[in-house]
Amino acid sequence: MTDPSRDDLASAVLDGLLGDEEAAAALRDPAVARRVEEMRAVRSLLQPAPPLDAARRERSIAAALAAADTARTPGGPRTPEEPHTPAAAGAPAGRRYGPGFDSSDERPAAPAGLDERRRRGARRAHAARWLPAAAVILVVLAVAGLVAVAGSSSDSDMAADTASEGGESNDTGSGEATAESSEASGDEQDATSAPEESGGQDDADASGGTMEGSTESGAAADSAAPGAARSLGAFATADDLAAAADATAGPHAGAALGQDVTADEAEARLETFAAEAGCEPPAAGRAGDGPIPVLLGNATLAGAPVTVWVLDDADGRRIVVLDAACAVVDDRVLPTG
Amino acid sequence: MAGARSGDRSALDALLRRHHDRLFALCRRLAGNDADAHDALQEALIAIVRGLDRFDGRSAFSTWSYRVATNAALDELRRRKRRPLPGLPTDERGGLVPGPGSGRGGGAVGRPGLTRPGVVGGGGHGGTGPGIDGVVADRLDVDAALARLPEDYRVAVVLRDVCTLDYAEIAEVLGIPPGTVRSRIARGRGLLADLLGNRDAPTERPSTGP
Repeated sequence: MTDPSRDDLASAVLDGLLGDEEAAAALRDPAVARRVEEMRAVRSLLQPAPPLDAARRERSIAAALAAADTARTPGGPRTPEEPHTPAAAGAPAGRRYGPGFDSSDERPAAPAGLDERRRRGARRAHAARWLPAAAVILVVLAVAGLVAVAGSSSDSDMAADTASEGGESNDTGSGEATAESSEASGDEQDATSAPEESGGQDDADASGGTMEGSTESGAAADSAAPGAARSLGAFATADDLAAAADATAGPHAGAALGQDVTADEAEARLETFAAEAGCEPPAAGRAGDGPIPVLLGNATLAGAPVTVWVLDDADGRRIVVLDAACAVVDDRVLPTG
Repeated sequence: MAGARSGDRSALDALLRRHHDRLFALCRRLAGNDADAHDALQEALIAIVRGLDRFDGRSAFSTWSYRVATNAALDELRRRKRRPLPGLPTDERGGLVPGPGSGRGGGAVGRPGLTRPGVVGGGGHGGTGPGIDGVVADRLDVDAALARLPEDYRVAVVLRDVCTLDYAEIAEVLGIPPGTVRSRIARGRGLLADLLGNRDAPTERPSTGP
């Protein structure tokens, strides 16, 4: 049976934390001496890490360099030595599976590497954002067509007006589609550009600005797919930041999981947020049947860039702040109401 | 470092190469298998290159990168927690269950201070002697024993005994007091010795406390 005090002593001896006399005294106890030897043997078993596959080493470094290049050059072309597909980047086929990757927890039909996973999240968000707009455009065009077919002279003016409106819609759509195209071609830089309020790459900042602008242009799109990071500003304290995030997120989503927001949608939002933030969702975001991710924000807290996750569940609103290393720097639950 | 941060590709390449192997060793021991370790490492490297602009230099780059890699490996573990390890029996919590003859000491393996266990039960490699089979069996034993440690203990032990960080560095990586580091390392080593040694393996995972 493990004896904690003996283990403490043995571990301290092993690491040379005790003075010579203390160590000698400790080792006079046969049980401690034996424990030291056991721990030493354990350490010797741990230290030689299993051999590293040199080819995989090269691929993982190449993938990281490619990610860096993508972050610096939105939509820039990839050179042949910069793999970005799972296979090229070294993600073995059939291993990327499990929660968040496919519907089944068992082995999926197709692998999803890191890049692919991020692209999927972005595609989900884009689809949710643009489908309603596309539907509106189709309806407008259909109405215009019907009016034109009706074809009276007085109706012609109306048809022209309607067509003009349709043109405006198309203009908006094409403008946004351009933005989407930009994001789709370089969706990885979205994950990193937004938080870089202090001294980031110019290109990345420009990309973040474009994304932010297109998001703010449509509140309806936001409510359909809150997948774009919001810039919350700079704050001196976590309290101020939490208050701003709470206000920006709007009304509490309630315990609507399964009604307004399905578990799949919540998971998709988590993945989208993760892709944008460049961090895995905080542990609280992966808990069981909830919560609902409602906002991802970028901010500066006490001079350091952070990302802010706002997650709603039946108990309240959770605000989690992650630093640049994706470590939690603040985690609080605001009561509902 | 400055070159890598300013976008010098060759500097970034050199930086990644310099730190790659030790980060892999960390991920490998935390993840428990090569495949997940490579995935975690890839996540970590990408997070590192993307976060390089925001690395404020208040801590050593190695400490920061260990922190990123640790988080990546633990995230990988959480994603994989419902997937059983190939070829090894697991309980409902993903831990390994002792097999026939395990837990009361199997055949000696001739290592000083340790005899062949029982943590990896019935895996078909018990009692192996020296040679490649024995090496593979040892590796499985170590991975399986590490997998049974509470996460807090496992991370602390790996950072100390695999990455050879000192207590202060581990405290910085994990954001916990050095005293807590010392305690977790001692508990983790003790449990590992129990699991890999010839005594009865604990039947329950201990609480890691706050």
